[in-house]
Amino acid sequence: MKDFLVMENITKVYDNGVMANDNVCFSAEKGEIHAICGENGAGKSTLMKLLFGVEQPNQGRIIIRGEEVKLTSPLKAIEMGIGMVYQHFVLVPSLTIAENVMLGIEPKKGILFDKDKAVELTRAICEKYNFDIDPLAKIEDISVGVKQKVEIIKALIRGAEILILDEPTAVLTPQETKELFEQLKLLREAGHTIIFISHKLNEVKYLCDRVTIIRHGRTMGTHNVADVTEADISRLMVGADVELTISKTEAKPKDAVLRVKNLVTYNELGKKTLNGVSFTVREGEILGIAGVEGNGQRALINMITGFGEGGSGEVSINGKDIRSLNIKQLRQEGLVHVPEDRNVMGVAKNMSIRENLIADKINLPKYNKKLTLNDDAIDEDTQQWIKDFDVVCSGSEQPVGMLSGGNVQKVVVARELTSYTKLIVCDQPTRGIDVGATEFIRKRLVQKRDEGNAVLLVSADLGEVMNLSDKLIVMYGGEIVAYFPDVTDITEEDLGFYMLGIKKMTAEEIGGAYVE
Amino acid sequence: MTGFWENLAGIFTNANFYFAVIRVTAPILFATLGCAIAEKAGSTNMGMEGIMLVSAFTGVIASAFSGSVWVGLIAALIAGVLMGLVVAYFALKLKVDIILVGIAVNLIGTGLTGFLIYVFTGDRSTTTSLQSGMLPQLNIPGLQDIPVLGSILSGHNILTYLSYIMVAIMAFLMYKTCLGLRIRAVGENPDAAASVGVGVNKTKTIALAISGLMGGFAGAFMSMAYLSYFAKGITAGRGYIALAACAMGSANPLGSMLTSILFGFFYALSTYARTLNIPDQLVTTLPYLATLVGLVIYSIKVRQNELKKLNTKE
Ligand SMILES: Nc1ncnc2c1ncn2[C@@H]1O[C@H](COP(=O)(O)OP(=O)(O)OP(=O)(O)O)[C@@H](O)[C@H]1O
Ligand SMILES: [Mg+2]
Repeated sequence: MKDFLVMENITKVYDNGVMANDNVCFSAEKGEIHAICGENGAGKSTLMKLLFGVEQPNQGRIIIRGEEVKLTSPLKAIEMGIGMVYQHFVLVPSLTIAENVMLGIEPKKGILFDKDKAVELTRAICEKYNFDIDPLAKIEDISVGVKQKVEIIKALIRGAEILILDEPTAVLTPQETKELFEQLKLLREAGHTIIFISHKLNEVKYLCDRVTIIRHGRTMGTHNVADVTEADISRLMVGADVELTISKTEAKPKDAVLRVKNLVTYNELGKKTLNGVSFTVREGEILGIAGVEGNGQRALINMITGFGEGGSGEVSINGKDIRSLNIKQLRQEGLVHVPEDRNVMGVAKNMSIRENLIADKINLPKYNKKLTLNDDAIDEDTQQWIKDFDVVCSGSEQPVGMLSGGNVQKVVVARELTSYTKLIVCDQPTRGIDVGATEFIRKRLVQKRDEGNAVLLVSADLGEVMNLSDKLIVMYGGEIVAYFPDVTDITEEDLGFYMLGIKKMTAEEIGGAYVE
Repeated sequence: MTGFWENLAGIFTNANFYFAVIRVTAPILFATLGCAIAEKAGSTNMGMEGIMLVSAFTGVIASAFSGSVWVGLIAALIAGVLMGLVVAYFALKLKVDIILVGIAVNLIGTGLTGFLIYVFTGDRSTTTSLQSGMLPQLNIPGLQDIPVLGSILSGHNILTYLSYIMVAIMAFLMYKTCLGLRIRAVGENPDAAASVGVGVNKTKTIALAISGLMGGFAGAFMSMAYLSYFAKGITAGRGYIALAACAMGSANPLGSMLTSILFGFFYALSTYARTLNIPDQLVTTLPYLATLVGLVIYSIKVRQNELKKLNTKE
């Protein structure tokens, strides 16, 4: 069916005056996967919030199945057959999958919640769409990939024919992503319309039928994906050519900054999360860590950044044992940390960009006049950083919570990289970030390396680790299973074997990662 | 000092002591269950103390003027529910911080009842001059004839029995009904509930009304079962203790009961400990000291769990 969904001349101005959508036109057909691409803050999520009734447009019409509709609330949108899978899942951790799925449309026996019926209905829909999940599992016990399936099922059981996925793969492992794509293709065959927002252009190329590009709140046209290259899309998004791989000179490593030796940690069940991990990161080099999420990376980062406890082995920064330092002292040693989950550990959402940027520097004499803060100096520098890091915002006083996902991450990176740095620990630094900003952050990391910093980079994006790292280790099951002193001639397939635990290097080869 | 230990042993071997534990636990239990259901919905009902005071007072007045203790009970319950709705209105509709609303309710509860005692009786501290009734006690046939156990379990006030039955009712409500499912969902992740069209404010309002109802029972117990009149500050901090008990009991009905009994134990002990020749002032602080110690242990436990999670999230 042509023009199953049409959004016509949509304009949205937020209360703070930001014009997020400016006369946007968008249409999707029945049974297609339609990508929306655009830079951070371009207005993609806003457009989808309008379609799901979370926000209302100031101007424009939304037409579904040939009829104009007013989507005044998500409930209304659900009624019209629209479903939304948020990037930050909205699930209740202590409830089961079935309870989450049936919440709000509970099967009843009198005033009783009919648990058996709920499980049965959930199971039926899973079978219908070929989802392999256990309705009785609790949300807190399942992986991110399964949580996402639950969100999709939640939409489907309410009769969604149009499914909105906002950056769905940002949190998935490569395997989970593949599974999701197969699922989405099945849904397309079943006649569902899928709107797919992603910054990963290779995914758009692989999965989608058409792509609509948005720049600064305006549509830059819709194309058949088969007719455009990744470079074309990114040019349309940014309005200039983007370097998708960063060129860098050879590393000139000097003294060791971070030493990890024989590190062993356990989880609450007494299971080993790290099993004898040893490596060194020196000034002027980037060490990349590749691996499927959940293979010890989290425990390792926690131990290095001062959030870990217990376990055995050594972790030292500039020759000082990390356990004897608190987080403030660690920062004085030059440790900065771009955490994996920006919303939980990266920012204080209700505080302004300015306050977030200055939070770690508040004790510096430059900003601190003992009794009061030096507001002038703070204003001047934060303004500069906002400019340097290209944070799209209405001003430095805007609460971080109002920024688009990618711009929140820019604030985190800006704060960390403008601090005193010696060891930069980055966990998924460009997750959910557009190509332009990704290029910018990657370049910054290389520049920091050249200035003599040690950089530890954990990323689920293989392209990113392979492009940026000077040395690379692969983690599997809490151990280092491969060490590549030279990254230039390894392929993704090579890494894949190690990441899945099919291959493992000899102890001697792996031992090369640690230098005295 | 031997006298001390002997007296203490005397307390613990006295069936009356255990009878007292059960009795003094009742109002704390009602209040704790009330705090628990509000907490489950994600709205801390800080105003429990004030709700109890208003209910206790309303009950006595209604009982005195109608001549029926049952009318008094129902009036107390209605007052409790209305107070719960007041909290909901200010916190959810007008978006005032719910803790501040609770504090305001407590202050109003204290001030208003103190003032109204004077208006109704001309007395400044109690309503003893009004003829208000006492809710009946139940002797349970069969049970009352069993030695020791009978004297501990039988002969309690009807509300005392109801408070323990209420634990089961609350557990049923929270874990078996649709409303309970929604309350838990709204408390844990309001966005999740909202995303599927569950009215977050509506659900919270219902939870706060039920919380107020429990406060109504707790208040009625104080002025129509524990005492037969209303006295200024009659609740003596039980609303706050309930908040602590609720937190320590993880807002579960069963946990709430166990922690309430713990506090009831110390309350009873504080009355009986007068025979121990330790200063009265010290003895009367026992329940409050127990609250403090309990909260410290509780927060250490929570913190340890959090640390564990943070460290080992893999
Ligand atoms: N609730 C809000 N109030 C005010 N401004 C907002 C709000 N939400 C978003 N904005 C602003 O609207 C603009 C568009 O944001 P939007 O979230 O739609 O971007 P996006 O294209 O999804 O970006 P990203 O790729 O980073 O997620 C941004 O400048 C953002 O700061
Ligand atoms: Mg977005």
